[in-house]
Amino acid sequence: MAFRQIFLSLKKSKLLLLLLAVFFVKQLFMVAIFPMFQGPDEPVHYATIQNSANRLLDISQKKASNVISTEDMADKNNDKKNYPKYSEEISNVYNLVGVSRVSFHSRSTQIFSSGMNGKNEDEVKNNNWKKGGGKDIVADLPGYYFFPSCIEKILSKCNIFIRFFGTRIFSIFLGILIILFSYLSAKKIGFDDNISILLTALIGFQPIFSQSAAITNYDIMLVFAFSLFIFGSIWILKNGLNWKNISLLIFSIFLGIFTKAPAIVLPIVFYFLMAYFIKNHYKINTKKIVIGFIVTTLFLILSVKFLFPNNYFASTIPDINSSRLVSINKYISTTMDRWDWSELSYWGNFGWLDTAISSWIVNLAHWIEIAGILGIIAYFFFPKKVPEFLPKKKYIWFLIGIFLGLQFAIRFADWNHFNNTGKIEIGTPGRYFIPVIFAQFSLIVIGIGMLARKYSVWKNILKILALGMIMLWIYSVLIIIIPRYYL
Amino acid sequence: MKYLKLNYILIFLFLIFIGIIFCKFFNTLTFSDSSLNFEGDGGKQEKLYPNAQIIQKITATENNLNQIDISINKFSADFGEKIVLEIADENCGETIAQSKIDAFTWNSPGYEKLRFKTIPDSKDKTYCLKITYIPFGKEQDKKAYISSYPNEGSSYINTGKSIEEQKNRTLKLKPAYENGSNWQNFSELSDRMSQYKPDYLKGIYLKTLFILSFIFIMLLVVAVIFV
Repeated sequence: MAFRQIFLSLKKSKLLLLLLAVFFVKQLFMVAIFPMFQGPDEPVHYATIQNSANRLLDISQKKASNVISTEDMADKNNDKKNYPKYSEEISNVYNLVGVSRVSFHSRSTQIFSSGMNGKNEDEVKNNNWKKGGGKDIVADLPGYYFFPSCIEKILSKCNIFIRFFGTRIFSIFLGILIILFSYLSAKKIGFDDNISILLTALIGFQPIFSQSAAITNYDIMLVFAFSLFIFGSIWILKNGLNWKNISLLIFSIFLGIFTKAPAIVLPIVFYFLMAYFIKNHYKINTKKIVIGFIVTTLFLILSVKFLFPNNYFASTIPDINSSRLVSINKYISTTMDRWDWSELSYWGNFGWLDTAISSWIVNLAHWIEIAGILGIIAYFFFPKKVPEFLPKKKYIWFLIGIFLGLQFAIRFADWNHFNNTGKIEIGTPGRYFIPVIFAQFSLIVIGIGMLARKYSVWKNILKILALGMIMLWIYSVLIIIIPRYYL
Repeated sequence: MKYLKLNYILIFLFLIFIGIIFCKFFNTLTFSDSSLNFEGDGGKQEKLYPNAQIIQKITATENNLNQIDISINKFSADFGEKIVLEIADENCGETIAQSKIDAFTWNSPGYEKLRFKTIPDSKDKTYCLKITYIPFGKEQDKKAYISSYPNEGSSYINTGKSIEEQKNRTLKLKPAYENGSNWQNFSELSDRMSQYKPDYLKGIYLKTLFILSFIFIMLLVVAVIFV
């Protein structure tokens, strides 16, 4: 039903098709804008892709020759600590392209020559350097790396520019799917076609989401996993459980967990969702379901903690003692100053967080967010005055739940690291919060709808916001990113 | 009818804002000398004393010199104060061009871009740059700094400190040049963007992608306004 709905939506909504086409073209342009390895952590992600591609290559060769390579032996013995950071190819390209000259140096660019070819381009193209053999950024999390490593493998005869930018283009396709599922989620939640398109346009032109969907980084797969999960959850909330939506949810949870740690939020939200479903389906009263929920939760936490002490999930469950509480206090006072930095990097601090938009834009976005929050508060305080065109309460609780869940998970991981090292090392750059962009923007849209009261006023405000977001994207590209890297 | 009017107003406003962004974009298309490298050891901060000049000579490597990018640190311009750049002839006599940055044109944390009237035949000519910080009212004690780096053959004088020449050092500044027309500037930008890119994102493909992106976006804007 829902999969058919995807194709029906495309057929029905020409506007959606136009939006997807525009998204593809402008993202392709964005792929070209960022110089090589200037996306956050791009060299290490690409190094991991190369290693994964090598493993794919090894598997096919081993099948043919039944021989185990020395690198494979090293893998087996977990002897990776002596590996260089990058492969020979990435290290050489890194130096020849002048990556370190640009990253974190907002007043420095590559050295340009006259004409279309860089000074060292021929040397980079015509080499026989070893691909792969560097360190992986994450071990055993193939969620994102599988498809880019297939691209790397298929294009293995081509030069590194074709291969590397090929993996960036893969991110565009994930971005398109995210846009599509955002539109479908908006429709399922109860927005009409026009509002769904406006909301989807807001997401599609958000500058940091656009950057994520144009670089080589596993963040975009995490956003995709969250988008699938949100769509599946809304489907369950609307139509109840069926094998299709439950499979989608389980798939998205596994995809997320095999991509990046913040996906731990997904099984937790799933757990709440199931409790809600059991309560409604079996008509159990609230008292019983709350007690049952608490007992089951404690049982699950203790089981994970004591039966599997070395498990990743167990390591994230802290021992509560006084020193930890002091540490939480210290952490909160240390990170309060970083709030603005997170906000700025959510709305537009590009590359290696050295290319920021003007702060007044962030302040303006702040006011719009505040208006949305006020509207959501009004929604709960004045239930009789909720306009009919707004979604039902259960969807709003779900969106708030997943939004806060990710906030909590990221800050918890940041604190956990702070607690162990005494330093803020992971931090909370804005792009970490992009996976719940649909929830955040939907809540703002609903909040504004509550304040607007009339459908036509609401729609016009959303049009203005969508145009504002398109302008923000154009401004970011033409006035911020291009001058930073090329002038 | 009212509704239609609002849609046209939105299109009109959007076109104005986009026009402003594009004007600013084409206006910023001036190309600094990317070969100048100021990283490494030996860097120090040179203080800009209020109303006193820092003077350095530079030789232009291209024609159409129209901007000097200066790295100014620990400072952001408040209302009324400004940093003035004068470009004089080789003997630091006659002023050829002038530029200033103030609270409205401040660009931190990147280079401050001091734009002036294009000097068409600048290639291989030496110019004398005079940089002055002009404070406003009580802000006399405010500090502004320019980084300086070792560089064989360059020198500058910080007249606020002494008239002694700082030999074999250069201020952190880059001359920038434009081309004859907006299209030529756009082509040079396209050339720079094409470097270290795959063939399918180079040259004519890149230019087409650039133009196509904005045509498509305009189509979407019209569609969004009339939903």
